Amino acid sequence: MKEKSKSETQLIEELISLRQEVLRLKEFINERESTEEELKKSEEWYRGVFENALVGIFQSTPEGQFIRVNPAVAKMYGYDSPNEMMSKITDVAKQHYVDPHQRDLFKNILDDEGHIEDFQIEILRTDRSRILISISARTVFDDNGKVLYYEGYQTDITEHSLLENMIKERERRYRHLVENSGDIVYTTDLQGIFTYFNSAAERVTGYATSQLFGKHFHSVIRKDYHETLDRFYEKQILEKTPTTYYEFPIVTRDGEEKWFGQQVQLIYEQGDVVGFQATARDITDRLKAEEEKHRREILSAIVETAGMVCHELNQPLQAISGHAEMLSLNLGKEHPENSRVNIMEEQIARIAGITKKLMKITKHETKPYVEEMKIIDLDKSIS
Amino acid sequence: MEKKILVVDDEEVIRNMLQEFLSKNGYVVRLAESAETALDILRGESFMVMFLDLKLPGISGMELCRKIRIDNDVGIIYAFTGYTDLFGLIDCRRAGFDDYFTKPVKLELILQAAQDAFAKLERWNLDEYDLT
Repeated sequence: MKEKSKSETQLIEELISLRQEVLRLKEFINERESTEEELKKSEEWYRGVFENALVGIFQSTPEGQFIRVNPAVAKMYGYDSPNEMMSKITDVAKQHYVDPHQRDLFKNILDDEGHIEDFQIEILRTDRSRILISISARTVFDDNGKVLYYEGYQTDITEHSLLENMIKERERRYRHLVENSGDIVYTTDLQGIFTYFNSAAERVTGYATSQLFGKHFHSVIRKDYHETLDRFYEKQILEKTPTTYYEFPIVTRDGEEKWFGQQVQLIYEQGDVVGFQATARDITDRLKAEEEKHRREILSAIVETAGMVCHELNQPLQAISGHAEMLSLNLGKEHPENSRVNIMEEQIARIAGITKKLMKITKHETKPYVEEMKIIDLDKSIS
Repeated sequence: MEKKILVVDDEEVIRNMLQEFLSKNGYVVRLAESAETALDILRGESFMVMFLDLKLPGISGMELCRKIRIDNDVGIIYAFTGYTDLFGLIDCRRAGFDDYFTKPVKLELILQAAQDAFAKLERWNLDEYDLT
């Protein structure tokens, strides 16, 4: 009875143990089912990424055959599907590389270093159009260190490259424009030390690059303008004036003086003024022409005024002169009053002399008159 | 030949003075205050010696001379000017003036010019030509 009872207990224990085992198994099965579900979901996610990625994802053999490609790669090369691409390409370098030797370089880097970044190759698509692709990949080795395949991604950078080339070309043109400009183009730091200048600066000032670089811009400016210019550009910084224009004289290496008209813009870095950029033009000839024009305008005004004075004075002078002459004739040479007529005639001749000089003015020469006032020097102004 | 002189000047005082002076010296003087009046006179009467002021209201003395020269190649025409320069001289010659005088000019010189003009005309025997 006791033995039977023990056996029942054992049986009960075993039953409990079995039940627990069943529960554990059930949990295990549940867990596994859940993991499998997650794995399935994860795989679907990766497949989705692979299939829908905009970048091309690939695996290829060292011989140039593709093991796996996503639709983006197929599209890049001009194939309708990854399967078509994989079945048709046996040697990608021969079939698609513009320069098949690029493949050797690609392989060498991958075999030696195990990875490659932004390797750019020009490829021929199935429609014979050319595109530029950038490949980043790694090498997958077996346990013995033998290369199994390469895997990585590639992107079509044709447009990016065109843009880059366009930017480079534009930069080249700007540089050419600045370097070959007839105007001086330069930059200085905030203290006024030259940090850049184009070849016109050398040509115009006569100083070599080595003599100007690192020098203060004062070194080419006429001394009496240093303070004025300092004040002018200090004001530009204080008031943050975007562009200013100023005219000043420079002294070339040969000691020649030239006048320049200069446009200056402030250079900012993170909101702070760090220097100046300037374009300076030789205006010496223009100033000389303006001076000449002004001189001619003055002369023209003088000549016109002289003409008016001559005409207006000579008319009454003619009447006085004629009547004095007739008076003298009427009185007769011996008449005592005739000497007065002679004086009148002398003075008329004097005025007539002045008007005759006025008619001959061809230059603008002056002489001091009273205090600061100047008057035309008639004798020096006539030809 | 009657010694007739036409004087054209817009200043009355000068016109009258020249008339008085030249008349006293035996010349018949006709006066005009403008080019337009002078042309009117010339339509009815012929003059072989003329003194024209260059600065006239309306038609200038220069233009008047050109107009006179259309019909009169021989007459002696003098210019009076209050202001001239080298180009003024060339312009005067091109317009057909024989000589020009810059004011103020001595009456003595005007008389000399008148006498020279008539002497020249006499020497040319103008009666031999049909100058009407």
